[in-house]
Amino acid sequence: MKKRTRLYQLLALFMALSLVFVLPLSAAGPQGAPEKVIDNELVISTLGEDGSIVGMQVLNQIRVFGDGSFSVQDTSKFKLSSIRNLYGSEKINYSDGKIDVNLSSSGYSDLYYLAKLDNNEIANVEFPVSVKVEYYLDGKKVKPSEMAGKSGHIKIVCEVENLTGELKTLEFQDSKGETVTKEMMVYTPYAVSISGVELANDKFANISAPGVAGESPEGVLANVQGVTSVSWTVPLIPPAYPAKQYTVLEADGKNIEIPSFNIGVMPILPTTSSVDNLTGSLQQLYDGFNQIEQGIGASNKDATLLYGLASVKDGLRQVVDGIGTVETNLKTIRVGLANPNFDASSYNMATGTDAKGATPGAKDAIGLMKNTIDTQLMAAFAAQKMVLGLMETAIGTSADNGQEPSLNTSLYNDINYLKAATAGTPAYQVITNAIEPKLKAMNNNVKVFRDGGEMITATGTMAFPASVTAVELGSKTLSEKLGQLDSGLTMAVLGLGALDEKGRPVPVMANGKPASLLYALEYLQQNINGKMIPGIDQLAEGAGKIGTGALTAKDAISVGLQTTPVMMEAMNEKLATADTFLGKPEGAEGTVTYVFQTPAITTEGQAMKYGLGAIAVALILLIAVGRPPKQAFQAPAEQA
Amino acid sequence: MKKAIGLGLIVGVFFALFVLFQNYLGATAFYIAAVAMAMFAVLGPFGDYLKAAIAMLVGVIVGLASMVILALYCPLPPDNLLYVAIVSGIALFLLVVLSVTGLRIDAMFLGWAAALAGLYPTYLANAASLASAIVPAAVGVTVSLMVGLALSVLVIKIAMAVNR
Repeated sequence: MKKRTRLYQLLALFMALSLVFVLPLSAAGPQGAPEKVIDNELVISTLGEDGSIVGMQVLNQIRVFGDGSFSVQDTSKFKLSSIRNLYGSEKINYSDGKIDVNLSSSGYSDLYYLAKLDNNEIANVEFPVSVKVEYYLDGKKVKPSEMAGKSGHIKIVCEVENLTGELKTLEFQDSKGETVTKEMMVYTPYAVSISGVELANDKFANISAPGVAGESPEGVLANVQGVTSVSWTVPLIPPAYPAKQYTVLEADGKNIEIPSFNIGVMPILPTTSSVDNLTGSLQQLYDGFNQIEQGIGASNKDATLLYGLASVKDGLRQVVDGIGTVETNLKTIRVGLANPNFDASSYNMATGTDAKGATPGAKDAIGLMKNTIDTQLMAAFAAQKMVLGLMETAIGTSADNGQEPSLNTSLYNDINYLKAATAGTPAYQVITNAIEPKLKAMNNNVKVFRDGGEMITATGTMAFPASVTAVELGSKTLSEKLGQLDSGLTMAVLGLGALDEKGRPVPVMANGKPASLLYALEYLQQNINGKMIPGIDQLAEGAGKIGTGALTAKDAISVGLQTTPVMMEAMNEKLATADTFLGKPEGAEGTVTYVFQTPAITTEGQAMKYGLGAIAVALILLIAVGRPPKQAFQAPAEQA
Repeated sequence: MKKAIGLGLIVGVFFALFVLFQNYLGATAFYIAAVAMAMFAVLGPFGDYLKAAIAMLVGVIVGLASMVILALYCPLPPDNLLYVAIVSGIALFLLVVLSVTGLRIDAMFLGWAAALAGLYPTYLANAASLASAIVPAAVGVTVSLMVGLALSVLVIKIAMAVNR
């Protein structure tokens, strides 16, 4: 019995010593520095009912590489209310923002510690990404707890914004190969992952997570085992994505309960597997704009649109000048043909002008000429013929005889009278041989002068074509031809068109077109000067704007193409600095991820009330019927 | 026999109702109630069920304290069995010591075990969530134990009625 008791005592002593020495034996003194240290931080923020942060903890993993025991010095730029080693027994010393711990490593070793920030420090924390969650029930903004157990249409809006933007001067080469500096807003790239939004199918219907292009990404819904999980990935990576975005979850719920979900924020510049058509497209776009810009060109650049338009404009001006010259000359011709200011009624033959001094045009002169022929010459011819007729009557014929000579008898009658009176006398011979042949010749010549024929002369006869009748006929013909000429000139004048008192073509339109040559030329000039040249100017201006726009677009695309790699580099630089929240051991590689935990929407509190009620009822029942009956204890006494 | 059937039906219906409304009562482990019901066999017809209930509550409190200590002051799973062993050993030692005050040690053990049954899986899976889960779990476990014990009173009454 004593041996067994001793054995028990030894066993108990061994167990006690094992417990006492198990920890100290595992520790050893620090030796040198580790080969490498990695510091991974998970910053967990708990959101309260009003969306503010009510608590912050940092789960920190420190991994040291190397063999041996190392002293690791971490830092905390925020005051901590507590710090504890989560999975190991190494003692963590924290004071004045410094965290010291000794780690034993064989190859590598991990330390996980959970640091809780002092609540007064939360206000001093500047997050790279702001998170705002709002809850709506039937369109009314509510606190999350106010939704618990209710029914209605819910809407949860989560707004996130990248706050890390800062102006940076970037250098890159433009399309001409020249170095260009440009100030651009550069952000640390962050991606937000919203996950764990789980809606029980028996409580929710019509679940949707719609997106809006350029503002809000669409959520991904996964219906698994009676629960619809909704998740979003929100890249806050300007300029490819907006710096501020939001997500929307909508559903119809009954007896609403939604577990807490996490909003993870991590600095990352993701490499996607998407085929980059954008760069190629931008290059093609650049080439297209370049061709447009080159095609538009400039007014002094050969084989370009603006040059062509300038040439057309110059050509049109020359055409206008030419038309002006033609018009001027045609006006001269027109005035030469018919002077619109000439008044034929006041024409003075002596001066060759009208009363106002205007000279007649060709048509006017022809008119005057024809009028002179018709009104003066033809009358003169008639008078001449009448005079010649009177002369012929006065001469009479050789048959005239027997009348006492008087004023009314013919010369032949008088000669015959004299011949009869002087027959046989020398006078008779004079009359017969000298006077009578002359009278006969005169009689013939008067007829010939009037009607034409053989004129008798002293030497014989000769043809006389210039008789009054012939000249009269010729004048008539001339008058007719002048009339025809006048008609022709009238047509020419009409074709050329009328001129006003200032010598300008009178506007006459026929069927919407100019009705005279001069007005057509004037019309042409007006249209070229008033419409075509201004139109070409506008065309050139428009083409110039297209060219300028193409150049601007080309430069913008060029800047985009050139700045993309520069921007990526700048973002990567910023990304490299976003590697810690609390601080990290010197020389350590770090990563940091932020998680915001939303409050759970649950009816658990009510269930607890009912549960406490059930406990109370059970205890009352036990008090009432769960006590032992008194007589049960009296039985032994009776037996005794 | 008829009385036994009748009372048996009552117990069955009560337990079924408890199972049906477990969520409303916050009792996530209804089967613990059945374990508590088994106490009728230990306590017997003249046992002090109220004292057993108080012992169970003490066991639950010690169990909760064990979990709090494990979660807050000891390394977390998976490499912490040593600390679980130490804490569990100390807790049971404490229960044994407390039994000298007259509390039933079996009831205290049952309460302690029920508390761990309710919380240890959560502790293993996600120790961080214990902070929010510990009070509801404690209430849920206590409900199951108390309702089970109340039903065990009914069971013993049935047994007594049948034997009579």
